[in-house]
Amino acid sequence: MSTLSKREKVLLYICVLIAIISSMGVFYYLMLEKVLVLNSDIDLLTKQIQQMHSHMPDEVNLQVKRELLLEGIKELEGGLYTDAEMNPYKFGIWIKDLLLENGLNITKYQTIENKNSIFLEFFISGDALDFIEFLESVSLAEKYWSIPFMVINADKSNGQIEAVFRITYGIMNENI
Amino acid sequence: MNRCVFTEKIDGTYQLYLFDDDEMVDNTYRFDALMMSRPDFDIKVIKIPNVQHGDEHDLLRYRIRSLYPGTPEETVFDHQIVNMRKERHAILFITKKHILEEYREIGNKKPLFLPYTIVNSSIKKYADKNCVAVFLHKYWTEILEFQQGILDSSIVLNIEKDIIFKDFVKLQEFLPERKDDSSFVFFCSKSNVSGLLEVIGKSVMSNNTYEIVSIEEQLDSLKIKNRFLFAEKRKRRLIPQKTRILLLVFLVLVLSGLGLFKYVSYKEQYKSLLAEQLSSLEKQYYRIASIKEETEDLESTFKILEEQQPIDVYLVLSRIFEVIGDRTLVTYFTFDNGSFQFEAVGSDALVLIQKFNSHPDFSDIKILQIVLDKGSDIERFRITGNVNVK
Repeated sequence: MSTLSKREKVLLYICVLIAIISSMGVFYYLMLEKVLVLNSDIDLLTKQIQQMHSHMPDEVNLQVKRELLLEGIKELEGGLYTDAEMNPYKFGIWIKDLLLENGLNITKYQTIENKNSIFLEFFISGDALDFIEFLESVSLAEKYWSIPFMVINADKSNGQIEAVFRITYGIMNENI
Repeated sequence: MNRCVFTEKIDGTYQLYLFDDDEMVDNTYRFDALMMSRPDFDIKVIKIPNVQHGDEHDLLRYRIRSLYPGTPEETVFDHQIVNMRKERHAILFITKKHILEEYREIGNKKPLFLPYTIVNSSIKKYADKNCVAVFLHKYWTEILEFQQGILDSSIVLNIEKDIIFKDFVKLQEFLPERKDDSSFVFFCSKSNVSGLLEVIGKSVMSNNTYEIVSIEEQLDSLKIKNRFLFAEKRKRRLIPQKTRILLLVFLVLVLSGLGLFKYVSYKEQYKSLLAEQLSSLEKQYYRIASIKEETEDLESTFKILEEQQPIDVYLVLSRIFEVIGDRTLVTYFTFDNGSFQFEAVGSDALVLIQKFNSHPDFSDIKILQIVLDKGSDIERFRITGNVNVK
């Protein structure tokens, strides 16, 4: 194996030095470029996180509100009948029985169909206090019984009244 | 290098002398460098081939065997390499080992030198010429011949300085005959300069170019960086200085590169941490957004259901009778989806209206008609309004 001359050694030395300096330069350039890109990315991410924090809704309040609404809805839905639970005929029998139990005379009753509702209209006469008791029973019913229309004629001086009222019950809307 | 002394062996003991007036001092005298006695040394100048720096000493040791009569084990030498054109010459300073040890002992590790050290540093201006240096010592005289600034030969004469001053011809016998433009440089103590001038002036030497140099002045300019002789060899460093500097620069570059790399990896970790945090926040945001949407749906459902809650007619009547009291008799009452109207008989209907208006459950209360009964304060009146009691 032939040994290198001094000139060849110097040239080799210079080549190695240039190679080292070049690779170090490339390395430094790439690293610095990477640092710049990373700094820019970090700035962007920090801003996004700050924006996210500032626009984040209060989860605890929402959860509490949601629970309260669910309870409220459950309570309100408790006052409504399903289609299977009630129908106008069954309801008519209940009201009729209730009126009679309260000593009121039913002169006439009929069914009135409105757009989406069916009402029962009763013409009754009897003692005013008995009618009030009937109304109290309606008020205390387990579910919603509604009297949207009522006329009371108490012109007589003996405490007797004549009344006409329409009554219906709350029914659960499946679409809600 | 202010305090230099020379030494000579007198009656088997080395004595120290100052260069000024050759005054003897005792061994406790503190000095910076010691000039050894030239007769104890042999100076040879030989041509040597180009060899590696480390191999020079071995080569010279080998060559000395043929130049110096002493046994190799008892012989010590120092050398200086000088280059003249493309040739390399070695100036050898050879002596016995025990002599050198005695100098080292008396020198107490101080630098040692020979007249050549002083002369060589003083004849720089004759580098392009030939010159002969004559070093006049109290007990001996050295003649050094230089060619182109490089020592060619050195001889020592056992002629005392004082004898030369008395009979300069004795010296002239030993001086090389010069027909060219060679110069003579005489080295003597400061106190002898004028005397020497006078002596030379009277001799045939006055026809030549000559110069007289004071040894003390040259000693003053002698610096520690001068090449002294037989200096203790310093341990050679394993790595040459240039390589060490390059390695240091390389190390700094590598370390800073590693630092930069570490910084980049730290930044990458930080970025991925932020990205994870953002992703987690996005998930949380979408989850909360769905809860919010669900809550809004529930709110509208609740509103619809609340609107479906019927007005309690029993409570409506109770509230109305609370307002009108016992002294008013209702004769007719109608109720239609929150609106009511009633006819009543009583007193002071306007006060009644005030009460209705101030009650929170009633609104839009209007009195339609008030008819007064003749001869009494009884009024027949009709009132309409809205009620909301659920």
